[in-house]
Amino acid sequence: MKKAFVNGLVKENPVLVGLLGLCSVLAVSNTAINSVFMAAAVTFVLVFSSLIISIIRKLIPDQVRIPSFIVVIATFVTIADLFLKAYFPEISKNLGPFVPLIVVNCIILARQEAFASKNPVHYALADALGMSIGYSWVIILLGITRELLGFGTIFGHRVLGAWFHPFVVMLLPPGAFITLGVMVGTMRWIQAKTSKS
Amino acid sequence: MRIEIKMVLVLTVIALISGLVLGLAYEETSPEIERNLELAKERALKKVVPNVASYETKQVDRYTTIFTAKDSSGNITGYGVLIEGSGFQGPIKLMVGFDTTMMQLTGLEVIENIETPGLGNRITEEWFKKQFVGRVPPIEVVKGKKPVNEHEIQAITGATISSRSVVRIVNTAQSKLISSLPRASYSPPNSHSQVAQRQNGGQKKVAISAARTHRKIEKRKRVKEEKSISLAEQKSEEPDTTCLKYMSEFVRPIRRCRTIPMPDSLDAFLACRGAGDSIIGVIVRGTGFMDRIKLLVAMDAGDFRIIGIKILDMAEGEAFGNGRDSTFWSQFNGRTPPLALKSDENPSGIDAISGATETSEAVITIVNMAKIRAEKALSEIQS
Repeated sequence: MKKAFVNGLVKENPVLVGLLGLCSVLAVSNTAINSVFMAAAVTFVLVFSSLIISIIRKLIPDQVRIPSFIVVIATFVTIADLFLKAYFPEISKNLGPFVPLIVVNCIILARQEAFASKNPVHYALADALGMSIGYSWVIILLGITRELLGFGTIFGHRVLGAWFHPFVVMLLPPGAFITLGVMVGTMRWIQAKTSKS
Repeated sequence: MRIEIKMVLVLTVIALISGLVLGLAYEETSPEIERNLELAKERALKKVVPNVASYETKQVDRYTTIFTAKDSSGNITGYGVLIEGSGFQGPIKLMVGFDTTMMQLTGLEVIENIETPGLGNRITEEWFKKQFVGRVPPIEVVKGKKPVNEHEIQAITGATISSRSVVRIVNTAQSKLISSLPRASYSPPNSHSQVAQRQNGGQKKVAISAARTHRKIEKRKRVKEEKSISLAEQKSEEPDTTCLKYMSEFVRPIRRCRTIPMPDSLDAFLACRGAGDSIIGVIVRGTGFMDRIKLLVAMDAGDFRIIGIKILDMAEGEAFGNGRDSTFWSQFNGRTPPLALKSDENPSGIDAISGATETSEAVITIVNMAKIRAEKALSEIQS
């Protein structure tokens, strides 16, 4: 069970190793606060979908498992979307269509297909939490980096002085690709080093 | 159980439960969501119009809603126009505030936009929005230099198209407002001192000095004009050549022609054909889809029916808006502004140039403005 949880953090990190769910990772990580809310929404959807799928896994016939997963996932995504719209309208506006798009986020569907539908509830929950945290730290780190270089702020607080000239490119899609590329590269480098020694 | 039946049954049950859960979630959140939307609009209205205690709304078309703001004793304090138009990346939704005369801008708020972060997105910054306060549309964008004239707005560096879009939407907002609510006859706003009061800090000084020089220029012009009138009376054969140059396009023969200097250096001309038969021509500028548009609109000085329009400056796209398509322009003749594009609610409107709706809309806005300028020019010479 511990293994199921730890796997998603680094070794099988859905973003850095699996390169899954990149659409939202690249699109909404322009500020730290957006990243935090996106991470929270994905965590909510992944944990609850895995929980439900794992509970009903024996009832679902194999032929309709994908539609069943999608309906369950879509339900939680819609709840998350409505919740954000009602209580965090500003954030919801910033995240735009990327909350509804969690429905088609491969991380979530992949975890249902590969893990939750084949394992008992406590394992499924551990896996979902591990994967969520794996997704979250990557997108939040990405958000902090991009916001710092693009605005000179972190969570809206100015940390770099007036001398700092913001790189607008960091806020645009190319900035997301560059930062993520550097992160994936670093990850590979560390893995290569540790496996040698 | 047969597998087909089991499949159907399981999916149905899952969908039903999902539907139930979502229904509950929607019930729970929808009043809050509605309230957020209303609050956002109300907050924006309060920012752009002073002393809002209550307001009435009127939906003009799919993209435009007009808010009539009132103070606690029911007097109208101004108007807010909630309007959507196209920007660089997608729609831009603005709340534009107008004073009670519907002439002067009292504020601007950006409600929604998906412009490029760090570039076009800067239309939400205070300094950009502040520029609009106290201006009288039609407004224009200048780039690469400081705005000098009263109707000019500084573009955002690297986001000229977004800046221009905002200006175009603001100009459209005024023509929509004027054409959809009854308006008291035009009274010139005592703008300059008010402008100075509304703006703060450094801008205040600039506004005051601008107003001062402006007044000086006006005074000088007036003196010059008075001189020229008295001169004209002494030697009646001395003709106003500028006026004749512009107006002979539309009227012939011209008995008398005079130039009416306007505060923003775009002149108006009054040509007289005979007793009680005068034509007023006004030069109007505005922002089109690609670049600015400058027109000379000739109208009957009595009932403001359009007699003709001459394009002085227009650089819209070759294929579309540039089309000096005479079927488009001839539609204006004989009509009295305010005009609007043809739509379901307005079947007698102007047909847009196909493929150039933005340009057509811009032209209509400018033509509508021409009438207001003509009224202003006439009231100026009568006083």
